[in-house]
Amino acid sequence: MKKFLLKVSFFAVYAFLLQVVFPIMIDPYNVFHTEHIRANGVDCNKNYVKMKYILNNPERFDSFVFGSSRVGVIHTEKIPGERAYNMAYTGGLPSEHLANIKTFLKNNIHPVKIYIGVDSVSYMVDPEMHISSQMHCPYEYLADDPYYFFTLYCNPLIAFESLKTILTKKSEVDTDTFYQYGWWYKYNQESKIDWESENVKPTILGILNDKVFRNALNDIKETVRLCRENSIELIIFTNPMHNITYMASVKDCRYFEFLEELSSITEFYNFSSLNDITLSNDCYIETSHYKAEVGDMILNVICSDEIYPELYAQGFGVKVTKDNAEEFISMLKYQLE
Amino acid sequence: MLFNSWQFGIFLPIVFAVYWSIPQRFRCFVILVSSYWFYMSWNIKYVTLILFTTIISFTSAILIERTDNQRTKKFILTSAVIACLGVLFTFKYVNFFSENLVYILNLFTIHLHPITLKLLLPVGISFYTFQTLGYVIDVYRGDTKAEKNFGIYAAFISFFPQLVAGPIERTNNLMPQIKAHHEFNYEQAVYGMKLMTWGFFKKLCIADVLAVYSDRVFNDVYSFKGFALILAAFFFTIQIYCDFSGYSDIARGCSKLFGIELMQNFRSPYFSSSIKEFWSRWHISLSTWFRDYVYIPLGGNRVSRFRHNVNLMITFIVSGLWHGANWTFVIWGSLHGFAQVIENAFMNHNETHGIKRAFRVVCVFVFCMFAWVFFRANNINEALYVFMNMFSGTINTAWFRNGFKYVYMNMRNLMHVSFCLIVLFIWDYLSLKRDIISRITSCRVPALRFAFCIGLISLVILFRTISNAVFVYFQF
Repeated sequence: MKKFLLKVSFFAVYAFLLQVVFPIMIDPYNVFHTEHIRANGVDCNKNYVKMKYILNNPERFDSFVFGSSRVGVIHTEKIPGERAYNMAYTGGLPSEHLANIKTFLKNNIHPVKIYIGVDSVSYMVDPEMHISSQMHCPYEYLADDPYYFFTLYCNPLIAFESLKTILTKKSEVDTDTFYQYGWWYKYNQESKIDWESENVKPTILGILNDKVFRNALNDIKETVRLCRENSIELIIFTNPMHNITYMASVKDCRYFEFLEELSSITEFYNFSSLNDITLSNDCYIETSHYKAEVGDMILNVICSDEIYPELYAQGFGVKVTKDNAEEFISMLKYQLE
Repeated sequence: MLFNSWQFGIFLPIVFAVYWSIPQRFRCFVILVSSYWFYMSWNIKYVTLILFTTIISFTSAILIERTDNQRTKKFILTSAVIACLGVLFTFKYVNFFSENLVYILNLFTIHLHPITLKLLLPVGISFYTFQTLGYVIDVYRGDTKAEKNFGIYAAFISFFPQLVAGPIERTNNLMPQIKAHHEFNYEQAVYGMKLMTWGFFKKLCIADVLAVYSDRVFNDVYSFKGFALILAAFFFTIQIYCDFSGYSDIARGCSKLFGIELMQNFRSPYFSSSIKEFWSRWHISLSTWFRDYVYIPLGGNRVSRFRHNVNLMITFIVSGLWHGANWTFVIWGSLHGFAQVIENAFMNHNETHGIKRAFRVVCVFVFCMFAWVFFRANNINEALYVFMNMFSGTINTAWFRNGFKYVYMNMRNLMHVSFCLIVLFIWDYLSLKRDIISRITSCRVPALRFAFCIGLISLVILFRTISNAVFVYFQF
């Protein structure tokens, strides 16, 4: 019996070290190090890390910018008169933003303003896919189920993959910017692809599924209602998708139908059309992410009521309401001809 | 509590420690108390049902043994069977039969409303009901003596490793072991730990991973077409095997820690070269139960060919119904029964080798895969939809690629699954002729034995998925 117990203890200790100690120490997604994230070779779970950070610093910010990584270029320090934080995270979806806002309110954080950037990602990606993803699992799911949290992140396989990056120090993270503003794309970012190449492809994430499409719109509707009830000023805007991604979204992903439905729910600022910004490769890092400079232009329109006349005529910066939605979307369709 | 839960991780060592610390005469009591505690962790109300079934079968067996009158014996047996099956019927089948009876009456313009009982199906009820029935029938037949000690009998029925999903143990195997004096056996305990680890690998690293994809499709079947449906059928075929055999391995391994040997429930079933062989390798405890208590009493194969085929069909239909109260299960069982009828009529059951055997193995696997569609589908319409749309679309590389895309399986997950399936394939193939764990354990090179243990534990930890998924067979 002693021999058996010794043997079992030895293997139990090995299993514990491999399963628990090693992954927590390496912590590729920084969920165990939310107050001091490290560069581990993978994108941290920004939903979880940022939410934890805000909940631990409830007085620091009074407005938030939500969206997917495309919104990660918005430099919130440029928003005048607000202590704004960029709450965007990789693959951010309307249901997740809604859950975050509810968590804020439950924890007595009452934002003055909320901005949400949407595009085809918002209604194409099934939120269910994020639940088992270490990078995307929403904060609320993890906070409500500590057992799931530990079993999801005590994953030695991912930790091993991060080891190489950690040991060779190949990755960097600007923690000051992360905690002060939340964005992660700097100005003068160089494009990551060769625009002249024949392999430039649209960035379409997710799969078109009617249930997911409807749920996303319902989540936005619920967000509008929640913000209205809690006197939060909500501003929704469409991300200016690169023309290649925009065309694919329009052709294959019911994008215009999404805009029509969105306009029936709430007014929004439109930046996505065929305009001089979306047609210019210089404004994009690749076919998914526009540059920080474009983000500034979005803020100028939304926060300072600036109009860029030539771009406005092309659909960039137009405030779409129930009254002008039909006409506006007709204009977008006309652009394609 | 699930085997792969932290609660079981605390429960098992405590029971193990107490079991081996106390004198032999109290160990049966430890098994009984821990088993009831285990069962109550699911729902405290369930205990009344298992207690009822235990009391009825215990009393009936004693009365049967005391009586010399054959008619009285038969009467007591029939009453016990009705009582035990009555419980099972009430919780599992009453809604199904009521709806179908009303449907038939409606055809004769007799309009009634079906009875709908909103009862939660108690975990493991099909398993322990059959175990009690097997005991009573064995006593009736004189194959075993009636147990006079209620505590021992209750421990036999409720023995926690096999309580909720089998194997359905036979009296002559498990009861003597519950009563027997056990000395701690190091080799047996080590074997048990290794077997449990392998069971966890199948459950956590294969079954739970594949469940994500197959559930996605089968829970919303009409949103999918083409290769995605084939993938879902394939994944479910592997999922149900790994889920169920994984559970059985954990149950067997756990029992070995207490010096008890449960019967082997699976023997590489997907390497079978005929449906008949498949059922000698799949859920062996259930198939032998049906053979001994349904098929043989009906006459088995010692009757005319026509009657033999009827007996086969009845046995498989009842077996299908045992799995669930839905026509899909009946069809699944019928398909297997029909396949055996065809095999008996046309196939040469002589052992084959080489390419001929490999071809047969593939055919049996494909047949099982298609039959599992009925097993998993929510209803007949969905199952038929799967078959009618499996090959829709133009079959080219995009067709295959889209299949993976629509079930949300990326390259990383595909590689994970493929690696684990290769490990499973190799293990099951090697298991056809040898007991792998015994071979490794008896290996004289300590480094190899050590590497095996470390490798197995590392596999489970590195490749496990995160899931609160219950074992599939718990719903039966």
